[in-house]
Amino acid sequence: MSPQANKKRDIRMLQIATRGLAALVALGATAGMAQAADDGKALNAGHEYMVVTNYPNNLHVIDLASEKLYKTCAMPDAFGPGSVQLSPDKRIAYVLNNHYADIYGVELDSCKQVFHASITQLPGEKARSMFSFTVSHDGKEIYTVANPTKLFSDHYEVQAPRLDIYGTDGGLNARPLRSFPAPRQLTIMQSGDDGTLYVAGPDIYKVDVKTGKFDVIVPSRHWKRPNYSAPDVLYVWNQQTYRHDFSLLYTTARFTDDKQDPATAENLYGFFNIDLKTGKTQTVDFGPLTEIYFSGMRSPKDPNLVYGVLNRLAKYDIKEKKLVKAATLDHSYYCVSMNKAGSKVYLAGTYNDVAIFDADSLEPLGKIKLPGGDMAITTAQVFVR
Amino acid sequence: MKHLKPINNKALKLEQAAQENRIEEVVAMNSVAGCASTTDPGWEIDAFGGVSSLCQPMESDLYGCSDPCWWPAQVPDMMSTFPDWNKDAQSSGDSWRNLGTVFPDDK
Repeated sequence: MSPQANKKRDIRMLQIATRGLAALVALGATAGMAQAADDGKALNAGHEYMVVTNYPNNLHVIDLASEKLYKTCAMPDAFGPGSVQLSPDKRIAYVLNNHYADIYGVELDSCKQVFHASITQLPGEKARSMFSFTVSHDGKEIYTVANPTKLFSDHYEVQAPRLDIYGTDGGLNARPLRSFPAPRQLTIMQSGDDGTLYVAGPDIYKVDVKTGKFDVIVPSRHWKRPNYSAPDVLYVWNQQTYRHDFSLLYTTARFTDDKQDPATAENLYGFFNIDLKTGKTQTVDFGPLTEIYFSGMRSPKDPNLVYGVLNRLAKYDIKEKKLVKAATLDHSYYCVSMNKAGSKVYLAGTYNDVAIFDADSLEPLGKIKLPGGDMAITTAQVFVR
Repeated sequence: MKHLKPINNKALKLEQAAQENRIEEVVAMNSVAGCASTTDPGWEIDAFGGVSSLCQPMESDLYGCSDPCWWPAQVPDMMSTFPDWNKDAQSSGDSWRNLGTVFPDDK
């Protein structure tokens, strides 16, 4: 091709690219305007809402009376995991996002960003938080566990994890008020009513947030249940429940005798729970392990019922230790939530629709399709303003 | 480790480290290069040896795995290495055809 033809082709390419860009800008402007119309729409006192995030950067508020999208706030930076923790007054949604690297606080009434902390805090390090953050019971502090690696010019060094504590008044470039060494492999956490922090990891710990002292409150990997295998726990949904539970599902094998033969063992589902009001703990088997659930929640109406979800929505009678009912789903959902009355179940995560089910009959009641992409591994929260 | 048997050299070394009480030396570097050292069944076979407890369809589970770098051999690590892997497929069920394979040079 001659230099002239090359030049012509380059100009043509540039025109196409510019036109494409203009179209993109126009699209962005329209989306931005729709966004702006929503921004200042305040939530109503006494109404029940769900907040949930999805790709690319949405924080959605769903009105649960109408089961319609109420408003959408645009989050800064990139998505992932999008897990939400609400302030005790339900005015601010704190979101772990930007590939697990930052915590943002967004005022739900105005969509205004009021808090930001980077998980990476020290020179030369890169740090991430594995779903590990929450807001204190009084709304004054944010807790998070950072997993840092120090980047040297010729090698990397994994550093000890640390519990970083920020003031919620720390602004958009918050720095930790206090930092303490923390055990490895920590994930979700909740703040008890007396200010104790509960953190899940190899065991569940209670933490004194003034001194940084970690004590095992519920042994998990190190439990001493005779003729039980160590439990298997995969639980990253940091739900703030009406029952004020901090719960995680586990699976385990109960052996017939001390030979501990897996072939004759009974495989069971169960949950760990900490009552955030009293600090009372429970380790409860609730049924046979026949399928996988990613998240579970006890009914706010009847604490003897527990719901679990992945490929089916299932309901168990805890005392009877049996499956009561199950509903088939048209795709997997990760995150189960319930309304305050305990009459409806909402399924979030994976794709971009929230499925609604009757909590008694497990009949499907509809879906709320969200603008944007996948919710993926987000944690939704249901609350009354 | 009572019910697990190492079947390759890496697993054997891990077991030896555990026996010699050196297990603390094995630490995850999830904040830089990823990721999980998990051998959980997941993409190929479920915990029961079947497929009914695998996520359905598999697209619904894609970003739940790629975001936290869960199975870096099966899906790209979006936490650190390929953060923009799904920029043209924000809704995996609708636009999975826009997802490509990744190679170290694509960074």
